[in-house]
Amino acid sequence: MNVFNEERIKKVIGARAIKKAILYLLIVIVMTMFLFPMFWFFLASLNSEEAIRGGVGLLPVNPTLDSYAKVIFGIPDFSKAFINSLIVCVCTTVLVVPLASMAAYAFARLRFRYKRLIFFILWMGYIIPTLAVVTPMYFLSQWLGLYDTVFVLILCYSASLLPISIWLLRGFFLSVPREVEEAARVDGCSVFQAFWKVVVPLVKPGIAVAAVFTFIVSWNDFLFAIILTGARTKTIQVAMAQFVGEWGVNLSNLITGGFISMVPTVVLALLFQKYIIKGLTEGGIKG
Amino acid sequence: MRGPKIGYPLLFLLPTIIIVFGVLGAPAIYSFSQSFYKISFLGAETTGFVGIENYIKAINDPRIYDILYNTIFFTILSVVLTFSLSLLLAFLLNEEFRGRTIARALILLPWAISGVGNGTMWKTLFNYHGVINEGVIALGFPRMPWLADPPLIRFVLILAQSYLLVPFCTFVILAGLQEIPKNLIESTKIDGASALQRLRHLTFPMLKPALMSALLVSTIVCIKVFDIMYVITAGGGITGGAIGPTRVIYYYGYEQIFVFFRVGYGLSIIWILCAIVFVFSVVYYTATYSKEIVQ
Repeated sequence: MNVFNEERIKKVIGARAIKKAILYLLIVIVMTMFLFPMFWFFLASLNSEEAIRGGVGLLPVNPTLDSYAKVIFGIPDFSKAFINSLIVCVCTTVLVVPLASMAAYAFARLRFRYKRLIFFILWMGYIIPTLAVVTPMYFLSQWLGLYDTVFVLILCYSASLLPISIWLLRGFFLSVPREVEEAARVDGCSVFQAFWKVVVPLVKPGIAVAAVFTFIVSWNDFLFAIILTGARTKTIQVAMAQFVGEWGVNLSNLITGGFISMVPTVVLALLFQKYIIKGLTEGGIKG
Repeated sequence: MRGPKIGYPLLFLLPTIIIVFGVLGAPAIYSFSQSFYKISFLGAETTGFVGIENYIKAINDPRIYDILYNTIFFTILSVVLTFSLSLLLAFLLNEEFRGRTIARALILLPWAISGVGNGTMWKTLFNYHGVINEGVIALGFPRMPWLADPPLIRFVLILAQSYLLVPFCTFVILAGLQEIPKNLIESTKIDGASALQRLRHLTFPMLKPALMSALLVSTIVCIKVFDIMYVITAGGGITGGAIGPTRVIYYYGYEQIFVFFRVGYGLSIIWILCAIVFVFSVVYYTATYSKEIVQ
């Protein structure tokens, strides 16, 4: 070992350490800036109504959960809208997941004519701008007496989420080895039995992602809801959008209400982040 | 599996086809046909088939060009901002560091929030007495009327839209980055390629499909922006309306149909928008899905 080499090694290690330090610094700065709005929104929700009368600062003054109690128990419109959203989104998810699984299985495994054409047409359903569809739905639901019912909303969400759920699930079905089904068929299962009893249990993670996607996207929808719901069944997003106008002066309710409306989807996204990221990158899904 | 009977695919697909056609397909066809009618609920006006008159009216509508300009301006700037941020985040998250899994999970969060929630959040951030203005004051400037001044509110809207799009674009680009084989990078390093050369001849060409799909999806999302506009500019009240320089085409169509009840005319605007979105979407579809469907 000569001294020269040791010095060189030290230099290289030193350069690496500096590079690493810069990387960490950059990550911390970028992440902080990126997450600041959401984190600040949470902090601001801890203010009491009086504390932010003059404006909302960086940190909460005397943090309390008062505003949460006020929004949840004091504003019936808000809690009702929250429950409406829950009902609609759960029903949509329950309807979409089994139907999408069946269709996805057909696209992944069964052979039939016009497969590509049928898929393309379904996919058109996904890209068609909501307003083009919701306008006739509005007049139709008025005419059928179904305006302002959860039924119409559930149907609309199901239809617009089926194509993308199918795409998501299809990938999972493709990853199941064909031999598994063939063995089941040899043992005397019908195609449907092989699908339901053998394949579906193997794609549980896929079913979980499809369910979470469906729930989050329907929870966050605004355009269908603002047009198809009235006072009775308005969803949380519609209620929030109206509060922005009405509560213009009451920032406390607005911030806390807004934050509460984000909680369900953010929690789900955190719990299933690994799968959601997979879905985002493979399915090309942006809400 | 050989020779499945035709009955099975039908059984598996029928419920989906019925719902998607019944709820999306049929109304879409109907709304397209209605765009050739004059439909108004304001008593005195006549209703009837007018051919392409609505479309001609749209082309001659002096406001539509301002609105198209607003939409394009908003879309381009949002996409540029989204891409700069997403590229930075994707390259950072591609490095190995402690806490990378947590960082990725946190980057995903804005994806999960709604347009309305996001709009509310940015509206309070940029409130006249809000935290951004406190920062502005701390830096020694006067309070800025973020939500009242047209250029400033445009900036807030672009920021809010990009915030929602960044997670999606970041993960798509990141997935593209991870597909570049590690040993390829190593071997170019050994061959003495500079970082810039590597970026130009290796990283960028291999990243192109991911960039394309992120670009197309975010463009479509921006063209169809609605809820952020509704919350931040219209103040939630229908009568308020999006103020002039921020009114975009989707919002204009909505307003024509549901505020002024010019249904036929509003629908013709929506279908012009559909045509634009459709072109983008077909490019996207053929680039990503098409090859994979038939194995």
